[in-house]
Amino acid sequence: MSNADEPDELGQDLRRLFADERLTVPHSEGAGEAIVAGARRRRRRRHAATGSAVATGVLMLAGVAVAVPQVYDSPPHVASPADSDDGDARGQEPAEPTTPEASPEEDAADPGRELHEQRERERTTPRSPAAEVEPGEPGNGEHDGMTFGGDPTLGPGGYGALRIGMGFEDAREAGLLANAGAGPPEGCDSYTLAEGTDSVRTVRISASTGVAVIIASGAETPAGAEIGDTLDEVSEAHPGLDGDAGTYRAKAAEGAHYLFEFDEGVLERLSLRSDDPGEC
Amino acid sequence: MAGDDEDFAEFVESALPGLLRYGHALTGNPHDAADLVQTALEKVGARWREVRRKTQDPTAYVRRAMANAHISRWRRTRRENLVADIPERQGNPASDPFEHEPLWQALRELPPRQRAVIVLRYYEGLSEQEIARSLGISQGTVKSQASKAIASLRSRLTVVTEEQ
Repeated sequence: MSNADEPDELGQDLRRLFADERLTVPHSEGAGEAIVAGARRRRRRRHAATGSAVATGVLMLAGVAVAVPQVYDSPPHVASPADSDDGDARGQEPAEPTTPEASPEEDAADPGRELHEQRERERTTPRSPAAEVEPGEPGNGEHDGMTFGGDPTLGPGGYGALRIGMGFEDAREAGLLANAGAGPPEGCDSYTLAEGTDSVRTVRISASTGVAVIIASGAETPAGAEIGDTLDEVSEAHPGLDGDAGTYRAKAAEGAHYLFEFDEGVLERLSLRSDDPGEC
Repeated sequence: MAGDDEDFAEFVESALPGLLRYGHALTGNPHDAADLVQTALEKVGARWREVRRKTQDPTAYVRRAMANAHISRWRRTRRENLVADIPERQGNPASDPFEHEPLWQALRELPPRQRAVIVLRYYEGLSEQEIARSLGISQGTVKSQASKAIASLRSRLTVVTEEQ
């Protein structure tokens, strides 16, 4: 890439920076194993004819995020709403790589097969609509995080004893956090749960407003939406989804909402978020 | 499937440290790096046999998937943030190991796609054409994004220098 704009000195500085050893991100020993298990789980979901088949034998990542805050307490860089120099990036949907040899997403969804699987699931896995588990229903919050029919539940007000809005100290004193030794959040920091990461991958806690985001791994919403679901399945479980272009919100308990993020029509990220996430 | 799992496990074992580093360069922080790497690897691992058949270099494949995922996730999160009207996040520069690195701080200000172009070029050493293919954009766009990014980095670095 040689042209008049070639920033020789700046280019060298960038190469030097990207070679800096401080870019290293430590990870725990079990991280690789957990990723392999996570991949297996995704594969099973893709091929599963029934929802119940995936509820057993599930392992998820144990440790990539755990090891991080102890060496580097920087708050997660969630987004940069202030970015204003997006230029022609704005309004364009990100395109997938088109390299014939290597195209990370091109075959992620065979529409015919996906549809088949979806129908298969619909036939064999009846879902309970969200209305049966009203957010904020009396007593409902106390049962968050308990196991209903296999998978633990996320929401509507938290995950088990961990509640949206709960302060870092309360969460630590209750023994909920795995890496509480890392200290309280400065701004916004990520934590993992003492119970492991089978159900919840990461919790983001804001210094000012407490538990702000709970990101699911294996957990599902009380209405039954979980990672790997199609948009139709999530819509069925949560009528009145609000959003478009792959990102949808649904009301959870008072002061909280679910965020469903889809990639190629499949739920990729599921999180419960505070309506007042502070710095997160 | 057991053989595939074993093969994938070996790949993860050897590629994970490098991918985490790359994710750190791409996202600017280790938390998002871990999140991005985990998601990308799980997706690739879920169809490992196909990926293996398609590419000789699965690491490059995962890196490019990460760049695309990062750009599109940023868009989603930004949309979410607009909806939720989140106040601009406050940074925590005190615990950032690159706190005294003006170039790192300047990189933080770049929109994700510009940053991705810079990372693909100076971290991965890709050509303009390869970057265009990786991100699914035209070479012209790569050129314009790169020069915007460089101009922006230069001007921020100038400001920093003048302030000191």
